[in-house]
Amino acid sequence: MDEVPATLTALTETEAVFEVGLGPGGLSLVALGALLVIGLGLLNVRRLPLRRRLLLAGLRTSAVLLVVGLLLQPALQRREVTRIRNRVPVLVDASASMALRDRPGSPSRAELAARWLTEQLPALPALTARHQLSFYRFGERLHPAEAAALATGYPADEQASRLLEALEEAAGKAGEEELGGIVLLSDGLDNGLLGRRAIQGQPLDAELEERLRLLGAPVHTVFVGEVGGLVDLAVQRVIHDDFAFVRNVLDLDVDVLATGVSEGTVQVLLSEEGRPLQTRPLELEPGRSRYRLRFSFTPAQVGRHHYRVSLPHLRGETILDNNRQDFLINILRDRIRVLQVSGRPSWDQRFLRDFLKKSPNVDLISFFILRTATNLHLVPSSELSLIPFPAQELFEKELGSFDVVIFQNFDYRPYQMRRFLPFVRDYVQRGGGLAMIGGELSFSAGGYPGTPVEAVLPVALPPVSAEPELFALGRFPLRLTEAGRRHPLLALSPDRTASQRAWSRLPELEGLNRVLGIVPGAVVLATAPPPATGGEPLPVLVAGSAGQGRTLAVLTDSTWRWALPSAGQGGDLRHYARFWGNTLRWLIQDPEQKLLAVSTDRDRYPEQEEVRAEITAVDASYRPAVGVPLQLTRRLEGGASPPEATVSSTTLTTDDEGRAVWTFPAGAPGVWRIVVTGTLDSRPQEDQALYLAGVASPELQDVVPREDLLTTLASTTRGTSHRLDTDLAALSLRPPRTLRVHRQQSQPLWNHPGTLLVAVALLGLEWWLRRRWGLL
Amino acid sequence: MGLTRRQVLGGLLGAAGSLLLLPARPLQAIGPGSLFRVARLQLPGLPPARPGAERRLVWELLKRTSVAGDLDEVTVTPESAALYDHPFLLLAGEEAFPPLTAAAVTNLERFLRLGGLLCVDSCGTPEGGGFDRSLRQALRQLFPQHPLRPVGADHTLYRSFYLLDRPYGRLLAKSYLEGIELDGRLVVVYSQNDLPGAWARDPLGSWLYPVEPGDERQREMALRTGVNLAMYALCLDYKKDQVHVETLLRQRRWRPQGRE
Repeated sequence: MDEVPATLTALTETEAVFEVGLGPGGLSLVALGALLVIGLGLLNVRRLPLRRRLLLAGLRTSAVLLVVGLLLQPALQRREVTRIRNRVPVLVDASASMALRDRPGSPSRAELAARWLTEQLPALPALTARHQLSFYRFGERLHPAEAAALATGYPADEQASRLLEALEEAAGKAGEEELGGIVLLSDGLDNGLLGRRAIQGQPLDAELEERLRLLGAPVHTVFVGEVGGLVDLAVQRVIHDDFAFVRNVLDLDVDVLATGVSEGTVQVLLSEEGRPLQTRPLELEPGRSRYRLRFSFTPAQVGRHHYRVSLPHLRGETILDNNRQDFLINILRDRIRVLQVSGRPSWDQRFLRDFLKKSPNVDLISFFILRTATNLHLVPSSELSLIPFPAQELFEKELGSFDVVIFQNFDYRPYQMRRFLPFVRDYVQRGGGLAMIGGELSFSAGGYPGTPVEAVLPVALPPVSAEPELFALGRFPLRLTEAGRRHPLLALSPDRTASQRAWSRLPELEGLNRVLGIVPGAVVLATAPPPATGGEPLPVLVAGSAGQGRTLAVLTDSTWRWALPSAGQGGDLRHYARFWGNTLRWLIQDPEQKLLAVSTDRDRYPEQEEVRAEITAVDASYRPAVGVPLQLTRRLEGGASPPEATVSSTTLTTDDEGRAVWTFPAGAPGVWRIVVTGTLDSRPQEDQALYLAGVASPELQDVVPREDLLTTLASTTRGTSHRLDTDLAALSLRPPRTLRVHRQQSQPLWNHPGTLLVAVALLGLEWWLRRRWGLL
Repeated sequence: MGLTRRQVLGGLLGAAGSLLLLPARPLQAIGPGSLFRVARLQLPGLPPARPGAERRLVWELLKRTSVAGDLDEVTVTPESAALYDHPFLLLAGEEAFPPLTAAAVTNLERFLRLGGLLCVDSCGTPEGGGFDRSLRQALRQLFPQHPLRPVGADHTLYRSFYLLDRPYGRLLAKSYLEGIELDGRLVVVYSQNDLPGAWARDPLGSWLYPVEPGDERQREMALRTGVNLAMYALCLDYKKDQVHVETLLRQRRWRPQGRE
């Protein structure tokens, strides 16, 4: 109310003082000496009659007192002073919880507080005669306010309650001035340090006590709210990690606060990307308000996912925003699940298995056809360590659980697998990775022409009847194409020149599966020289995509020569591992190898803060895609805002580096999805990113008013706790103690010469009487 | 040396069987370099023993398994770069041989460490004999930190294709194989039961060496041991994968006839 000059009260005060300051020690000595002198005078007077004894004692005492009085110089001091009003900050809670109504139709807590302030306004002038009242509203921070303005109603919109911090700031504003007390008008909800550590029914811990003691003033609390009136279910907190691993069990702990409801069962729902994932029943119990539930589930797909925990709406529940909580979890790939199906044991299969098995980030399931119908079957199966090829289980049930499927020199026909081939096609189109490795049982020789699998391969296959034109025999040097030199799949070294040098040193390969050509959108990464009869170079490595998945054709069964035989020529075995490692990463669409990618710099933004979404685009050859038009849309997923505020879109064009940036305000609270689409190498591409708008407010997660906290605050600071039926004037504020002296005058009482004469006369009279009565 | 009527009949039957049972497409893989071969390791001063046995093993592989192999015989020396084109080596000998040269040690050790497998057989010569002593000395040169150890009965080697309860050969001199394992993979396997002797046939298809003390069942088991060795080289610990374990455990209740 008034930060400005205190109104002063003028007073005149009179006080008796000693002008000689001896201090307590000096006074004690003087008193001792006086008693000694008086006592010595009474030693030899016992034989005298009582009246004479009393007369002598009176004379000696009077004389000693007069002498002492002369020594100390007593005086009357008159002062003109003013008494300074002490400061009394009045803190009014303006956090969002104060906007709550404890009963349907009742005034909000903030309205009740404003009404109380209105009632106090007439008493303020009287109070200001003794105190400087300073009004503040507070939540996350402290803001100066006028009492009259607060009394007319104030917004309760602060997204946090920090009682202790507000008290400290208010006390700090008083500086050196005396505090007459601090008045706190609140519902007692604190989501800062105090609220976390103050437990109902227990004293505060030492640190909190010390911080409150340092306030230097009693805190008088006025509780606003009604315990037990509110009906509310709240998802108070979801405890989760920011990331988890795909196909690994993920645990979430959910803290639920049930207020005003103590019986029945409510269903707590966990959903993923808007789809229900799990439901847990929560049995409510009388006398209990806090519950913890655990959800355990296994994320099936990598990427940043939107999860929501939600509670049903109860009848009479006024706060619905806290019935759900949204959060993002980045699901990471911990291991790449690879299915390697090989048509026969071979060195090519053996070295690839060895690599996959030794790769710490690969989870390998291998199936090798060790014996076919053409092999001699004279041994009972009980003497063989062979198991049936579980084609149905693998391709009908389990296919979706693999990140990469490798068909290595594998002819599906002997295993009645034709009916499973559509599953392989669908698996790729849904985002799986497929590598087909050559051999005399692969590609056309494996019977794939015209099958659903050919539909997703990056190469066009000649008909099976074209044998022996299906193969090109002999050794050949591998030639990287222009696209292959840039492609991450063939990067044997981060340095492109070093990578090309490494490729040139690898041994020649041997034998090729011939194809008719590549399909639109596929990229030839490496070739063999044209056949002697002429023509085009023969493709050896061809990368492509189908639907959301990727496919790779390795048209030879001799890449194992980059392993052991390469070592025989002094080569580096790591190149073989690097090639297959790159292949796996490319097939699983490692985010670093996506053609079109959008990302934001953070997960969560305050509503008005600017989001920066960065888009990168490369073509299938991994060159920056320049001048590519991009369509960008962002939409709020399941937010509370009206639909028109929940979608926005724009178009951008990539720059010379294949980049584009979209900036925009974060928008209404909730989960926003950014979708970017564009066409790269004639194929539509899409990527998505998620972010959360709005700062997660703890205010509405715990809405039960805490009178206990206010009581503890008051008692710890030697203040008093009250409800709204107590007036401000009735609070026991400290009276002002600080004085300012304007004029001071002393009137000595004992500095007259006659005083000394009287003392001498008294001593002389005593001496005369002692002689007369025979004592000297 | 004249042939008995029994040997002639046996040879004719064997040859006929060979013709009948040869797979329809013996040459498979589109590059001959990728076909499975058993390359014979030739050491200076050591005459090769059981010549042609490796060809018979490949022949059995083609007949019994889906492996695509090459029947041609290949010989490599320990110093040669050609070693690296043949991940499966056979060393069969009966006599003592000189220590390996430094170049041979370096090359052979690198070959084995990077993926090769060396199968050694003493062809029935006694333990502690010339070949055995020379071999152990050579292996100490190659892997001084990794001595030969018995290969456990639960090793994948005994279930890489057939279920075996012990190693067999033309002889049953030793009930276990010895081996050197690096990073969980056998790089050297040493048999003293004369495996190549059990595999070898003459040009007419007759078995060259009689099995002792058993019968043809023992020879069959020796062939199965050879098949398992080749399968181990090609598939490594594939049969150790969890997916196979349950099935194999059920089947291991079976015990072969005629075992010791």
